[in-house]
Amino acid sequence: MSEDLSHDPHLRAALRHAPDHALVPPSRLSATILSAARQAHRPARSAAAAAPVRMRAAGSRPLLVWLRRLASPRWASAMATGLVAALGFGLWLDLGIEPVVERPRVVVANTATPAAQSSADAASALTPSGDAVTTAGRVAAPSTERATDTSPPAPTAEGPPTAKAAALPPAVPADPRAAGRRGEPSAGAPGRRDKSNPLTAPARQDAVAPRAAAAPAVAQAPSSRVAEETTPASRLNDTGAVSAARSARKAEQSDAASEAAPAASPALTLLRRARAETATGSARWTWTAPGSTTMAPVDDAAQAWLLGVVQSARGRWADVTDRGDSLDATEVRWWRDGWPHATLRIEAEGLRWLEPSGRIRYAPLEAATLQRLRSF
Amino acid sequence: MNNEALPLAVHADDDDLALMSAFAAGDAQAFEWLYQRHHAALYRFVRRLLGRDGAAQADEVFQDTWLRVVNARERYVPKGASFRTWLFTLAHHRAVDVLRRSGREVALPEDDAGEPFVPEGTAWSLWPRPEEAIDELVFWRRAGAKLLECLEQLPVAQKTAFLLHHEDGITLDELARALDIGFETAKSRLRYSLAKLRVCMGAYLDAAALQPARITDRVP
Repeated sequence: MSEDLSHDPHLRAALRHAPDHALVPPSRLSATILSAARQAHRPARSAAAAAPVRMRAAGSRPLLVWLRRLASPRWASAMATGLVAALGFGLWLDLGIEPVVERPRVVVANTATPAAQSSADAASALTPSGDAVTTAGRVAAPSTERATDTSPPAPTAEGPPTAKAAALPPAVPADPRAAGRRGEPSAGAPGRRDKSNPLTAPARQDAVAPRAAAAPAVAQAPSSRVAEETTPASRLNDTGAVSAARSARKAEQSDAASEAAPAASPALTLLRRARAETATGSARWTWTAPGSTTMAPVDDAAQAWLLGVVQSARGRWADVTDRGDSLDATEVRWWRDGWPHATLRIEAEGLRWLEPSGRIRYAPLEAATLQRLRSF
Repeated sequence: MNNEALPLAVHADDDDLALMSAFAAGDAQAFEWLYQRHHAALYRFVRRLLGRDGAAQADEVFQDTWLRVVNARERYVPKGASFRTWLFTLAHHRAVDVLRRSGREVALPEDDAGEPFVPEGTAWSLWPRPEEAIDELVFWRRAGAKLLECLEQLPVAQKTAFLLHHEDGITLDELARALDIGFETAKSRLRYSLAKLRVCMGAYLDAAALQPARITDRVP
């Protein structure tokens, strides 16, 4: 064996200090294996009982049994009947009720400016998914009330934004690009659709289109009335909203597949994933907050901070090749199950998102916004 | 799983072969000792072999490996390799099956010298900032994280060779026998894996080389 192939002490040292070095199998898994080993030595009857332990783990035998059952004519006909009934009910929901309930809401909904309307609709539409972003880029909370609360105020001339909305980070409503994203045709980019936000763009269009088409001329009602009539209860009870939610979910699913688009928001993707996996406990997410060097769990505060990033940089991400190794950048890092997942550099003029795969994205931001993001 | 879980310590000093024989003869406790000795390293090996993308299948591979041990208890013959090597080889084969099934295992020509290895990611990732004063332990932890990142970029065959050789300390001869490949092939896989990892680790290994021996001396 050549010298080159002897054990490299540095690589061995790195291996022994790797984050997964203390990893052990889940106790339930150990229990299953040890139980199978114990049962292997029992008499034939017990040994036969041991078999399901393995089969259950592999998931093959129960599946076969169920498949055989489903193949019988009785089960097959029952399944077919159920499917037809479900399909019929779904069609009835889609076609039968929506126009009836939708009409009075058109008047209410259009009392807000188109931008606010689309925001509110998108918020209500996305609420059932429990992990979505409103038109203004805010992530809807799992509860419907929260989702409605966080929907952005109508940017009308009649009144200032609500205190709650003002407390949230600015979502660049004055940006002409934002108008384009809301579906408002702008001179510079007619009919432009923002693909940077995989959640909101299609949901907004799908959910708002029928309402906007139904009553295009109604506008400029007092914003207080808008707030009063677009309560969470009215939204939830509205079958139209349910239908819109369905459309939004479909759009979300279709857009989830295209999240790898060049300008997709990496922060949003990470936030959604971290939330989902933290909620189910399927992965452990940790991070180092800006200005900190210690790892901490991605808790609610961390998610709120990341949400601020999502909102601030919405629609601004672009793929770049420059690593931007500026020394004064503040770095934030995320780990999934102890594995490096992403690095965010808060630089002087923008945010730089780096992934272990080598992909780099950059979002130019105002100095004030960057300063705000530096504090946690 | 811990030592307290083992009711009696009668097997504490037995070697793996004796434990396997005892288990085959009907002593379930012997298996618990075997499991206690190797479960953590095997789980780690499986997780590293499957990588981030295959982490979800790690439990399945791990469990299946041990169940194969259970089922093969009466047929087990050392054949020149240690129990641990046999165990890790079983896990390797099972992991390759899983990777193949999921379409993530790419056939690797034995002569991997065709194209130069260009590591993904950035060489400086996780590298401490200039103003960041870190001690040796933190340095090695980051180097460890970086190494896992680099391992992700290796083909399974090379990753296996490196992990078995460097983490579990088996020799090239054992490696070749365990994987049922020629000695030269085993050597070639190990050489390529080391070369790639050294490139990928970049600054970490340079810095480690500059450090006095005390850093590596501290490794348990």
